[in-house]
Amino acid sequence: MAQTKDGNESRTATKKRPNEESSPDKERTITGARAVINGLEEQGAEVVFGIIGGAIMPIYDELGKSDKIRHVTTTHEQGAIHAADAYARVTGKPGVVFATSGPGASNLMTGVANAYMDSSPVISFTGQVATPLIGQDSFQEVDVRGMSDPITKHNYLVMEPKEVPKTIRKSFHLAQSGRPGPIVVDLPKDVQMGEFTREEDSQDEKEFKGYEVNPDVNGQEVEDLADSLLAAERPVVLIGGGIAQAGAESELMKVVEELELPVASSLMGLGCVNSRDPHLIGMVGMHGSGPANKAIAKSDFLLAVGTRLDDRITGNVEEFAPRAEIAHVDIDPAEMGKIIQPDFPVVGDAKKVLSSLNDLVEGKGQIDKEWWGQIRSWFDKYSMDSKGGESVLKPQEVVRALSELTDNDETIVTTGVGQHQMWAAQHYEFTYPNQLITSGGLGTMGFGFPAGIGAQIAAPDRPVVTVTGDGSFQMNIQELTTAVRERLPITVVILRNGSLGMVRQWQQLFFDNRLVETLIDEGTPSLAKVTEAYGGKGISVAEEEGLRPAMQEALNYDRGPSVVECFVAEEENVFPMVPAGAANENFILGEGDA
Amino acid sequence: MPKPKEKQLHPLTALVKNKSGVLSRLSGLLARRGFNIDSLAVGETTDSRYSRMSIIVNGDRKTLDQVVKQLNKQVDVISVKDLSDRSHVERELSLIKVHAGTENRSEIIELADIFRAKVADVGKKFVIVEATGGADKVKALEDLLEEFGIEEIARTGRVVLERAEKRKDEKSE
Ligand SMILES: Cc1ncc(C[n+]2csc(CCOP(=O)(O)OP(=O)(O)O)c2C)c(N)n1
Ligand SMILES: [Mg+2]
Repeated sequence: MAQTKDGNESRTATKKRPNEESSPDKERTITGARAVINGLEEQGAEVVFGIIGGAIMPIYDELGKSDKIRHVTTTHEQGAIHAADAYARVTGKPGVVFATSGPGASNLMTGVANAYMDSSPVISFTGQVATPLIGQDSFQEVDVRGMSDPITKHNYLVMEPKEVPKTIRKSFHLAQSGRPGPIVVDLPKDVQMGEFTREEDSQDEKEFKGYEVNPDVNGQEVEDLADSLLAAERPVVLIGGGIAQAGAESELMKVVEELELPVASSLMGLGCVNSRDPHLIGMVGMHGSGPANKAIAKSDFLLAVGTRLDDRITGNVEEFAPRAEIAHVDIDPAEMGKIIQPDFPVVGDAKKVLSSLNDLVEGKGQIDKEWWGQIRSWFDKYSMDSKGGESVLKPQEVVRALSELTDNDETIVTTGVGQHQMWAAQHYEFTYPNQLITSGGLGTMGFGFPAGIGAQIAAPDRPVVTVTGDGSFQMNIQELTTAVRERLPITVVILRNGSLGMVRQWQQLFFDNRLVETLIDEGTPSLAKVTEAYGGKGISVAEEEGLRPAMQEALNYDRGPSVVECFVAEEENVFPMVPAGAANENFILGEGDA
Repeated sequence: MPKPKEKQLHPLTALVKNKSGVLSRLSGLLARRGFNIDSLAVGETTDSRYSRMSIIVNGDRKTLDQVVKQLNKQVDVISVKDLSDRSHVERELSLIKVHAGTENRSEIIELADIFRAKVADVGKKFVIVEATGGADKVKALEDLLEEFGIEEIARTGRVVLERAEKRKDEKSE
């Protein structure tokens, strides 16, 4: 039985633990497990998310002695890593995760992939079976390094206790430098329990040979870019999450205001330009705004900064910004030409590049007023305002109410994946970078709620709201336990549409309305009541009339998580929409358009 | 049947950490990103902390550019160099086990001689020919030996090194 086996292992672990208060000789040696905790403390880690298990017990035993590190036990490892991911995005410091070997580690993998796709610095420490047992299909053994190879910036299997301190220093450096990304550190149980002397820990300066963190910006490249930008008649700036990562929003705004440039944003870039700022012309891509997609299609110069230009942004690549010269600024050289061959590739930190760009364009005039005239005409033509005031609850209206009732300069918004995610992106007024914490690259249903937990722990004094769907919420609903236990006053707004709505939308539009396996209402319980059963606050609303009071009540509730289950119009779909494979400019505005 | 696209081979040389897991991570990267790799060979350098990888990429310039950049991004990769336009030495070693009885053994040995290949082993039914050289030469010999019947073959894959003395990346270790 697994239980007994785990238990036995733990007894050995306890027996072998060195008694720290004994002889001075002993003080000079420490265990790998102790070194993990010391290393985390040294790096300033304050919170660890995780779940204990046999192969990581020595580390937890040492964690128990630390008063500097807070541990949050989640209900599922996926919850832990999404929380750590959001924690990292809110604090700008790496999120840290502990999980046991085998299933604990494999449960993390979705979250590791999620962090990889969104360049989030998450460091996972996984217990592993003892080194002599590796490779023997031992109890709870999986090849963590092999599994995580394709989804990590880097990973380690630590084979000696004395390697632990170095590995932790390296992991923290790698996770947050250059283009951030997740690191996995696999720690066999005997490495955790084995001892080494502090002298054996060596700095290894050679370690990062060939790893270039912050490449110097090539001044000539920026000059060329600036010349073309100044010569353009219909320029557009396209920003991505890299602006937030680099903290380059004010450098961006300087250039934008200097030249009066229109700015379109990817999902990950939302908030880098305040939604109320007139330069922002909306989100680009599959569910982007009419003006943003039109402007890029008609532009003669596209300045893309801190974006991967992935397929959700470009639509049909051949027809993406077909008339434009493209400048691509990114810290990752491999993004240059990966999808689009830029006319002006500039590798570098967005902050640095934009500030030198600003020096070059300062006082050089503003762009053609005619171009703005055209963009404004698209705003009139493709308005996304809906009427509201209907008896049925429109999902868009729910998001708008949320945006009105929350303090947009303070609130953190996390989302699941699906229609609700797009409505949140389209209708919430974001005002600062990283305000929207969403699964952009991997599109991980179930991300939103645990991300809300991580965000709330990172920012206890700020309001945190999760906008999620009935499908997405139920994918990590078990984290209600965590939120109740930690008394986290997150407000979860569920857009309950009885379906896996985004997929249903595709079926309606592209599969002749054959709804196969997308209606999920049968069997879905009252999510408000479920929340109550967990010990949180649950409220249901089905009409617009009751919406705002219910939402306000939930937002006011501060003794734990609250859920507002909004029964929204089930047939509502997300528009505008660019059908897969189409040019962005050929977006459709409704079902009749398809 | 569409004509198979002509191969565009590009030799790359990479200096990487000599640690367990590195080869698997890097070859996994190449496979997962759909790069077409014609040959991949690895061996330790004079400094045991590093290995040199020789990678022959089949693809256009754009693909090659991505291979170099994606490899460079890996923490365990110290440096990558595209040798397509640099003068370089390229070698492959092939062990070819050929059917050989008393009647044709000397003929095979003669053939090996012409190609400056060695006979590495002689048995009652087979000889093993050890051929070294550029890929073309080794291939030509293999084609000729095919007439006698090749039982088995083992190749090292192609190893490449830039010519001249400016192997800076190695010296500075
Ligand atoms: C883990 C995971 N499984 C499946 C999908 C495919 N998928 C994308 S959106 C979606 C529906 C999401 O449903 P819900 O959370 O209710 O959101 P809605 O679209 O209804 O707002 C599904 C199944 C996914 N993105 N992630
Ligand atoms: Mg739904």
